[in-house]
Amino acid sequence: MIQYKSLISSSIYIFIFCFCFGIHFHTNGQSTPKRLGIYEIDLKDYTAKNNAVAAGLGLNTEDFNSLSSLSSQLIYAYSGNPDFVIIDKRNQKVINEELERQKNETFMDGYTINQGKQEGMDYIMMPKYLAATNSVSVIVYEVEGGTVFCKAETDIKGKGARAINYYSSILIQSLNDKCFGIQIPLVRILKSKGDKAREVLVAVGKNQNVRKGYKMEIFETVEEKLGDKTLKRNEKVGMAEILLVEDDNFSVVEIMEGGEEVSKRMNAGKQLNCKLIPKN
Amino acid sequence: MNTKFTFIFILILSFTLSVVAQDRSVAYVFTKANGGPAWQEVNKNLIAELGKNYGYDLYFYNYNVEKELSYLPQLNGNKEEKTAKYMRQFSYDLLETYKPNLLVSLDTNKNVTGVFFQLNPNILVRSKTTDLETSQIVQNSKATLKLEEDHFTPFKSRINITNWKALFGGNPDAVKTKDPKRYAALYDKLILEHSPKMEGFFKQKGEVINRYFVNEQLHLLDESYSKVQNPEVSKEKLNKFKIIPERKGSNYVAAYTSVFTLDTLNNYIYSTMVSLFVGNTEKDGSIIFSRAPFQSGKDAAEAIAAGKQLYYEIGSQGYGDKIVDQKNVMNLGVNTPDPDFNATMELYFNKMSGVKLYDISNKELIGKFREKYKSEQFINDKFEVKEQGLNYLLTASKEKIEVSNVENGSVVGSFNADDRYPVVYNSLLDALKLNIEVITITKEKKGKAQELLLYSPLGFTHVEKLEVFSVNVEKVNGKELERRTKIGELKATNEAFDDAKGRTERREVKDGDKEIYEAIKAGKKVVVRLSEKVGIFGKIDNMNSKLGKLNGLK
Repeated sequence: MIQYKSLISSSIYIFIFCFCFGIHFHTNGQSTPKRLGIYEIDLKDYTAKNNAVAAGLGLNTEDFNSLSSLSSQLIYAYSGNPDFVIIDKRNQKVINEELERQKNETFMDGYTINQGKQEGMDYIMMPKYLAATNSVSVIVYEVEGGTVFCKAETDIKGKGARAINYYSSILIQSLNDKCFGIQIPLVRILKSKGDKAREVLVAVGKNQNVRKGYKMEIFETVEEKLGDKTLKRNEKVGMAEILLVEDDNFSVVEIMEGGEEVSKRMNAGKQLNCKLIPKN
Repeated sequence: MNTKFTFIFILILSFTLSVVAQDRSVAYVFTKANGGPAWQEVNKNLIAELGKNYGYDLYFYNYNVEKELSYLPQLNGNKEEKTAKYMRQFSYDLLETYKPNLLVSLDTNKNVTGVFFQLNPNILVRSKTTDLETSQIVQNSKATLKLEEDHFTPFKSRINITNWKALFGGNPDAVKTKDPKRYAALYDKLILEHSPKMEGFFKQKGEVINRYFVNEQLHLLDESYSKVQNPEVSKEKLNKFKIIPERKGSNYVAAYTSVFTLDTLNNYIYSTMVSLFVGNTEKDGSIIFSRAPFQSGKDAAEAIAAGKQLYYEIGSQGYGDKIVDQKNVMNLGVNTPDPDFNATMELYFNKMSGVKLYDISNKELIGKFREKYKSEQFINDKFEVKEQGLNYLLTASKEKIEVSNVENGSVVGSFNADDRYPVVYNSLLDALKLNIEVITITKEKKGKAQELLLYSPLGFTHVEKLEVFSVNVEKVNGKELERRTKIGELKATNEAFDDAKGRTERREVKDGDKEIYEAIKAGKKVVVRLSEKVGIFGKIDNMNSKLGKLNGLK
């Protein structure tokens, strides 16, 4: 009977989770891929500001190069995710040239691809550097309605390519969470010591560009009632570090803090998720 | 480098044999990497080497910095110009420096034991052969050659300064610090005195290039294998066989030549090596292959007795394949703003025999040939442009490389520019939803797999180690996700060579023989991928060092 109750509560939880985070599944468990067009990062602000107050931002050429690779970072992260079809708007010209070339009569007996199959976009992603706050923002537009779908922003702390690359990962995670409801769920406890979970399988892998050693915060999304309003709050449960990136979809994390609580909540059927945390 | 003096020769070679004359023509493009006088010698040697013909008809062209293509009849014995199927580009860097640093060797007490100039014996060579009718890159290579020195090498890379004591009165480095003017004057004197040796040394290097490119690479355009004919079998062993090359001197005879059978299993063609042979070219141009030492020749004789055809290896393009593999056509073009980077990428992807690479970077030059061939002069020549469309485009932006599907415009894969070859290869398999298939277990013992026959749509090279994973499906939030668990490893076939091979290959099991056997026999989904571990000897390409020029690209 206890197991039965637990099953019902888990099912309700999963339903609420999916509903809240906008994850809609077909009966076969696979969602329709979202068609995402990614544009070149707008660095006008950087150039203008940097020219005006040359040393004020503490950014240099290396930072400029790293910043300008942000669109590539976004493409790298989303092209590995089967939930998305990525269109790199920067490549449109060369692709169009190739499509035109194949219409030529010299292709009569040769291999040609089908024309008129270009993918339309559901969403457009426009990255921009904001000099005033030394931050990067990405605005996601929904093409059909022509509206701003969502926005994510991150401050850039520190200098150099490594810092900017790292904050790109934070930005991508923020976009995943805010715009696409992509969470990193804890799947199952793999190793325990007494009541404490030591190693846990998490559903994040090479597709999300994670690496061994990345620090993660484990949390449970709980609801808080404020008068007649119900707000969601991510309650920290523990800390973990990626021990092994197994494949495209899975990694094993070592629980660094809160092993007992992780174990307790997972055994109670609570859905725990984790997120990448900014470095100190 | 003074670009005014940079010029490119294109040598068109076409075969004298009328049967294949229109099918086999090669264009060499070589640039003068710097202005050293050795260049002229290299050029002269190359033309002389090509003049030996080896059964080919030679045509020389000039392609200057103004991008004008002109035929050079005087270098072609004033013979009539014909169309060519292939264009071969050829570039090298002799790494010449006619002003090397003066080096000092010291003993443990820091006393000077010698003073010398050290010249660089390495040569960086690149070659690319493009089909002028289809724009397909049929061959490319990049190699660092080293001029080997022995007693008979007249010019050495190390030029010893025997009179250093008399000149400098002590350690030249001390003179350099105390009296830079005097040092500079003495240095200039030494450079002038030893310049003939330097020039001679670089000329020697030029000859090495010519031998490598002219004699040893032409065979790459021949078939990759041919039938063994008239085998001599005695005492149930294959001892010898003789071949008469189609074009005298053009067949490359490797130190050891594989002799193998080709068999089919389901839809796959695979090779089984039966013995190694050593070829010797006879005076009449024929080649006698004799069984290599420690080779029994029994398997070869048994294969003949069983009515099987034996083949011997010529090129390295590979012979294993899947009979019907239309869905895995990958026509790739590399389109980045940097020519050097383009070349590196082309080299990288051409190692994958399952990828057909097309020459976008030479679009203009190919176009000039095609325009030229439209003229009345070539009306009787069989030259027909048969372009092949690209279904994938490779572009580079800063630190990332992207592969885009031309048909729908989507990015199917993105790699880090510093990813190594196995990572790119695996990412490409994943991006295109392809797998290395286990065709069958070819050797097993007591419930353990000892050897597997594999098929990779991208093709194999010799060097890669492989990892085997079993796949389980995990349900996460109602979504089915594949989880790979490593169950074993497969050996590389030969770490010494990394040229492209066929798309089927036998691999010995290194680890996990029982687990692999059980997973396959149980019908579990098994995934094979290239090992991404870095080998001790670093045989696997690392793109990192080649991509310095990516900085600043858009």
